[in-house]
Amino acid sequence: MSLSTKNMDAELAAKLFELMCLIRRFEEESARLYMLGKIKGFLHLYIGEEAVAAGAIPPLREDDYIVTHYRDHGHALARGLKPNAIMAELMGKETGCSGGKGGSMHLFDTEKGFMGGYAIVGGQLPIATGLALAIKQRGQDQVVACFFGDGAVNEGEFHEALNLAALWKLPVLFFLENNLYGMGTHVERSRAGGKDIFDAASAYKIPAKQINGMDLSEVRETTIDALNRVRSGDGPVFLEAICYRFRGHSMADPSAYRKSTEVDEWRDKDPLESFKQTASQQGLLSAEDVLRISDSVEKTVKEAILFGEESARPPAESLYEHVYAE
Amino acid sequence: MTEITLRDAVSKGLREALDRDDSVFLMGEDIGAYAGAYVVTKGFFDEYGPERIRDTPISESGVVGAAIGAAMGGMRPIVEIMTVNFMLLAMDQIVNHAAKLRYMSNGQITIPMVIRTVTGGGASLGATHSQMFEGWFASVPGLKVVLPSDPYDALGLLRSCISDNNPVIFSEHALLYNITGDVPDEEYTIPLGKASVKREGADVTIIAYSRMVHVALEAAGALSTKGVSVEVVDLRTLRPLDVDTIIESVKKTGRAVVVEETWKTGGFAGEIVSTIQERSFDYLDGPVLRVGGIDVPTPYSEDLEAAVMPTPERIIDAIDNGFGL
Amino acid sequence: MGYDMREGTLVRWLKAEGTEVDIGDPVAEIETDKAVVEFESVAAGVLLRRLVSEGTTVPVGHPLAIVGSLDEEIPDIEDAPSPQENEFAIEEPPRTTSKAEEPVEELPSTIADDSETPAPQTSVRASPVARKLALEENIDLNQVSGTGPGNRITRGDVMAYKDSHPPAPPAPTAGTLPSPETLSNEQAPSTPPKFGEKVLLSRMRQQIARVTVKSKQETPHFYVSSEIDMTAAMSLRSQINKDLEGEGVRVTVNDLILKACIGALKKYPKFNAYFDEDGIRMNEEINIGIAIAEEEGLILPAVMNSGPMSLKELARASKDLADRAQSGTLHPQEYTGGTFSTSNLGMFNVSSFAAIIHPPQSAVLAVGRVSKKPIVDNDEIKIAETLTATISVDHRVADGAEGAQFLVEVKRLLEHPSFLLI
Repeated sequence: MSLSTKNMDAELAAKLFELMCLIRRFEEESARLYMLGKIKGFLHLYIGEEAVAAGAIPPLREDDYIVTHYRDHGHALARGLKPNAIMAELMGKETGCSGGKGGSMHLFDTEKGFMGGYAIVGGQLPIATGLALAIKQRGQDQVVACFFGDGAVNEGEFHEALNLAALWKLPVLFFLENNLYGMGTHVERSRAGGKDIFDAASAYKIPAKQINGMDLSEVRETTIDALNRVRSGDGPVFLEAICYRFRGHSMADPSAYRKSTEVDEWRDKDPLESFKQTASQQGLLSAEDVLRISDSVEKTVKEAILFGEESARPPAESLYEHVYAE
Repeated sequence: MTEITLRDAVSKGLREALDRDDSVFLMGEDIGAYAGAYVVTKGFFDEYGPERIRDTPISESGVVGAAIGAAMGGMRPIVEIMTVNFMLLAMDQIVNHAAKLRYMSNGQITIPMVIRTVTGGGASLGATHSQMFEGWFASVPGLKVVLPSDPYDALGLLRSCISDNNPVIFSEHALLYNITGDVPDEEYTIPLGKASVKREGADVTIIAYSRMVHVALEAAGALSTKGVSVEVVDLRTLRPLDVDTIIESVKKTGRAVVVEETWKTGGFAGEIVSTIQERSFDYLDGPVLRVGGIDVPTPYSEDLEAAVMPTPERIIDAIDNGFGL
Repeated sequence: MGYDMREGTLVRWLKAEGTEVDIGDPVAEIETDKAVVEFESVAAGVLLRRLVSEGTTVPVGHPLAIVGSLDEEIPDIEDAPSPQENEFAIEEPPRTTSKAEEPVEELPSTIADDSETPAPQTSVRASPVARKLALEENIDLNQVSGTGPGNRITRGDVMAYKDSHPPAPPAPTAGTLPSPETLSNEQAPSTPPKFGEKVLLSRMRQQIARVTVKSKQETPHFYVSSEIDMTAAMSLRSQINKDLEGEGVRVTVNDLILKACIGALKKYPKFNAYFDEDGIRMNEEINIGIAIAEEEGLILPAVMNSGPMSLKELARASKDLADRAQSGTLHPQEYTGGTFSTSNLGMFNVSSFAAIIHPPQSAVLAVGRVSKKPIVDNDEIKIAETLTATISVDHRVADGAEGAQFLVEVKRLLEHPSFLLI
């Protein structure tokens, strides 16, 4: 499959391809560590959706905010959180980006404007709206990128947040990652309006667009346009990226609700492979680049695992820390 | 000293905060053009403008979530949720997010937010509008829960709430808005987590909060004519809870009654009773008693509603039956 | 039925099974060692079952009957009384069966349900602070009366007990009734005991038990009674009191009786004596004892050296004695020094009774109320104010005839009261 590489030079193509590869390998290794019992709890993998994070997040400004859902490793890596800190967090270590207190679903790095992974479906939308409200109250021009899944759109908080953001013309980019399933329920079985969810935004007069979430360039270009629009002060924009997770909802999911042929069809649209082909064809990515990137990613992920394993668990006294602020 | 109502005390605290700190703003249903369902923010809209006195849709979860986000973004929002009953619609935001974000982020996130709300029954508003859920919120680490019983406390506590860097629920009892009390003209604050002994006594300690403090004081007055000397402890904040003041008083009197307006079953009174017996068992001269709301949805009709509420008579009976006093 | 009674014979049932009885209704006649008395029901309801047949002698405390409601099951009551459990002569069925019929006093919902259940008899019900205090002060909670709900011992009860029981009190001897050093401020229970409950013995009750058992076991009592016409004495008394008005002293009926006893004792000193192994010892002085009922029990202080006292002096002294008994300021010798005693239950509207001799004394005079009665005087019926006096005498010291002489002398003095003034 051929995609576009609009406005992309070799350096950017390599950088974004490397990011997607990092996410892929990081998640594959996470799955392995989960099976080894080194990662506990729930683990939701981003495999298959890499083009969304790699396309949507790098165009953000450093002082913009990101608020996301519990399938948040990809967003965190895309935002530049250190793989070491993320892996240590998954392993429940004190060097984790949340000090070992958040876990996979609750990654934070406020210095990077990464305001958290939120594990209550839909809960992050009003909060993203509030961050945008703070921006507006102060008269600044940052943007809040709020990621959520198709499962969230049937929550009341989704509608409340869209209404408030539109009503108050707040700088929010509502970014829907429609991977077609809310856990095991297909979007057509959960939503009266069908799978074209972006229509919902029109109820609040929010400009909205549906894009191919498997296409890095399309995600990137659409996001850049949307961010410009949001930053101009006209209020929120709504993007719906159609994508697919290749793995189950979480590591506990046997994926019995979908046919393997369906998964195979989507695997044929693998965002990494299709971008590699397109970029190679267009001379933006050489075979050496791919090898170098592969090595680099392997090194980074191995180092992250080593870092996580060598890090200490949080000390007992940290139990009572940060329940309250001074 | 100036004698003002509890409503005016809250109003004064809010004005001060708006005047002093640009990051403070108010948001809530009908707080602006309407001046507030309980008229606490009368005149604010014209004075501070629609940005800082932000009228919101009826959208509790969205509004509380927005306040959390604004606080994360460096503002100091003060949200008014019209009544505590409506806070159930914002439970996810309050319990899952506001209370947890600082801890889960290992201290990276700070949420300096006050949720002001109106609580309590006794006004013939029926089952959905006559509840008190502060005990529920008080069971959640990460939240602070404050319930003033008089104008002095209301102002002193509100100042502390607004300057606190945590999510705080500040519950104003609907039937206390018009009570009056002296408030010093000079600045003062009351720390959160410090109970107040509203009446000293030697024989029994009554522990109460919000409107029940007044009911307890009435019972104490009546009991004094029987020769029973009652100490009334006003908790003022359920979380953090001033256990020391409670225990100190119970050690002195040896007898305790916890009075709570809401349902007795699963109420916060049970928490206090439990703490008392854990911390002062060897000082107890009788069982630790509870007087709480009757376990029914609050009925509308006046006489029925009155039968639900703890009264001075019920407290006196409990003390008579429980302690023989 | 009185501290001096250990057993009695049920002479006759006055109520049939199935009859309704109220508290206070006479249900049976009980013969004591003094008289046949009516036994009153202590419970209301239907007399479900008589547990004792006529003519049977049973110890005090043995259940006589079950009173309850018709539809309730009657619990098995063993014939042999269990001294631990049967404190009351009419037994109510256990609460589990009586609940249906009798409105059991329900504690309000502010109190845990289990507080309704009486504490096991083997354990003391006391508040945590009372237990802690008792432990610190080395006080046996079994000795403390509880005034809290369900007779729970409270901090106040332990404090009161401690105040009235200084550390290491001298062990009381079995010889005398309670004296002020040990017992004068005994904490009195303020609530009546409940059916089925065991009331622990206060120290005063223990002392009374010891003294009266000793007396009844060692001293062979006999009794002589006489009706005394008090008409003249009553009239003299009101005349004297009119004259004494303003002097702060009033002569009571009991003072007249004391004075008459003193007169009789002077004439018959055997009754002012005590029995010893080798002889009967006459006391040198007349210290006349007066039984005073206090809330917790009986005390028997004496007016010391009352022989030479005029009626007025005696009246003043007896009043003083009663006042000081009340305030707990009696001297020890006033407790132990009595040589003859009087006991007056007239104020309780009793016609007559017999008293237990207080060792080592040899006699006690018991008098009932003064009441108007028709009497035959010179073959004419007239209304007279009379009382019945009964003297209990130690048979080792004197015989019936001597007892009669003594009593007749008392009667003579009271019926000719001018002798009391001489």
